[in-house]
Amino acid sequence: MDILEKLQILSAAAKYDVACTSSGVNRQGRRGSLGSAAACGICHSFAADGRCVSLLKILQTNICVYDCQYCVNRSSSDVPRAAFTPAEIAELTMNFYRRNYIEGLFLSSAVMRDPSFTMEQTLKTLRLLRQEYRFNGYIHVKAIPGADPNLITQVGRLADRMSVNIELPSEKSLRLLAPDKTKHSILTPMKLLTDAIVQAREETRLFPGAPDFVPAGQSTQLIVGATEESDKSIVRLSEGLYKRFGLKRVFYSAYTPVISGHPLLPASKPPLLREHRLYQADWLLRFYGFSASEILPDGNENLNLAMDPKCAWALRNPQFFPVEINRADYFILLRVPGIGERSAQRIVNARRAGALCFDHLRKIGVVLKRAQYFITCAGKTLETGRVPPALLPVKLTETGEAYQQMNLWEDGPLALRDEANV
Amino acid sequence: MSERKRVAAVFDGTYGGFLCVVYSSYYDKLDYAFIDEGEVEIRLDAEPFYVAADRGKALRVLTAVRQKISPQAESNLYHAFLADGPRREDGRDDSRLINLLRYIRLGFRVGRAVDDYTREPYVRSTQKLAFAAAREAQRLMGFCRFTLTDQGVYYASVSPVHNVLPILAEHFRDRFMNQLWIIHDVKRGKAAVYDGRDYRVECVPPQANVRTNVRTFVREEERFQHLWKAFFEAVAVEERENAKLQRQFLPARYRTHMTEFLP
Ligand code: SF4
Repeated sequence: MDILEKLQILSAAAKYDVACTSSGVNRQGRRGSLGSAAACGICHSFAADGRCVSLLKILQTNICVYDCQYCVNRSSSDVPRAAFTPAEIAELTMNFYRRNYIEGLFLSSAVMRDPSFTMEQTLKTLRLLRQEYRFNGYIHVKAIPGADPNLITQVGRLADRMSVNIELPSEKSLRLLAPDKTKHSILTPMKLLTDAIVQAREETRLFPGAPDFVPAGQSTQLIVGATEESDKSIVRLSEGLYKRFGLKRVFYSAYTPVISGHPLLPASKPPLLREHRLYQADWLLRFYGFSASEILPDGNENLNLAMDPKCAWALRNPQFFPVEINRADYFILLRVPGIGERSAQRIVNARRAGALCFDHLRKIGVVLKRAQYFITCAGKTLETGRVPPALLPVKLTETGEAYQQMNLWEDGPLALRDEANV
Repeated sequence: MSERKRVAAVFDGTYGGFLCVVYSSYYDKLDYAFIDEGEVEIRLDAEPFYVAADRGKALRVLTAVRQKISPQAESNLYHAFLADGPRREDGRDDSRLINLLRYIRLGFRVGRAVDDYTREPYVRSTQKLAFAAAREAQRLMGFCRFTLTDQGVYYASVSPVHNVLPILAEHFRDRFMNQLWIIHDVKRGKAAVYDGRDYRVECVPPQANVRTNVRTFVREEERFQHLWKAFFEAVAVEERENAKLQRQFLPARYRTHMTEFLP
């Protein structure tokens, strides 16, 4: 099989993987080597679906010994199979990078032969890239649960980011659908990475120049809508992963049906809107100082599809409002629906030069559409912002088009733009 | 009416030259009404005042901006300088440079708070232009495509709205440290040429069609272009096809230089 055919099979097999951001590490070029990494992430192209293309995202192989029911590459599925050699992957990466097609490599894999063998192939590829080709660009690889910890550690010395997929949000679901995986087998390498990252960070602080370990941190991915877990259990799980494992990102990927008439799996995709709301909730967790129990308190099992989770929180907590724009601190401003990080920062900056009125807010680019119901400027409410409380839910409900997938994407596929409009 | 004639600063069009205009506005105590780049221009409405570029003065201004105003202001100054602002009928810069001068002068008065003065139109327009140029530079860091020529040089052509070539050159000097490259701004007839240690910007006469000249590829080049196109097509999720979104992030004007959009 020639390399073109392999590339077609193994990039198509990897494309549903959502973790495409290349951000998180800043590294300058080095004499004698090729490449650098930019913490803000660089998009090199945009595919026909509007997604950013930044990494050569491929599977090492899609030949798998496991039989996870939700996966196209499960051993019982009838699909064309292929496997790259480490040399082929290294050659592709280098040549794409030299032409500025990509920011680096994102290498994932099915389980070929056994987890350790698979991890060893990855290690060989990374050694070629880092040591032979002296490649200094971005590399993200998947750690395979069950692989020899020693191998995972060696890979971690060469990669910028690693991830272990959580796959499904509960142990019970794993048992049903991915019998070869257990919560334990997934959390073990995750813990290993967490500890090694923390340790390396301490070492480099004490001894600058000590070897790095996964400097861009660890992320994970889970499939939403294949099993029946509520949004609440997912948001709680994420909160735990951020707090206990210090993960950089949790990615949510809406289940794509791969098998028809399966007794345990839904026949259709969950609404994309659900994925979108989960990303918004995730954003509130990571950057806005919300806790899982604020986003989904007792009695609320799932996120409201009709409005973003911050609006929903605001409606449940009227005692918090109105917020006075000229006085409220940054984190209070962030809790106002429609005011994101950029707007909050602009407000904090602009008011240093004098009290702000609504006109100033508009001029510095703060969108008042949703915010108007929750704020005052120098004690005043905007005329259109005076709405009886009973009407507020109606005002904040996103109208018809928000339910349509197309428009959702125009709004910005959050996983991909790394920016949440909440 | 005995109105005093206004003064137009004339400088050499370089960034250093512009910094010297800022310097001169203080030390020559001239309240410039216009700033003109390049050759002498006959104006009926103002007296020309020639400002010579001087490395020492330029550096002093730059340091002062960074220390007395803020690194953000220094970045705005640089990016707004490279930006392509509104132009007069004869193609010359209209208000960009004079706004930029006023922005810096305000900065020396109020310090780092200068960027909070968003109610001043010249502050807003400077920030806007700086943002636009910085965004285009950021985009082109990803979008510009190199092809390997038979002389072993990686060649890229671009035609940016703003004059972002210096920013791109800085970026690739670091990233592509151990390969030879040329980035050619075909719109402005300039090229950054990297020789393995450093780059210099050279003028390329508009009639010299470097693009077709260096398009004598090595065979390997075609192979990787082909592989890249195959990858690019394979990664799109068909059910979510969205040309509008794609256009928004990757405007058509960039595509004429991008391998994956060429036949
Ligand atoms: S191990 Fe990975 S590739 Fe193999 S079936 Fe399970 S999810 Fe699919």
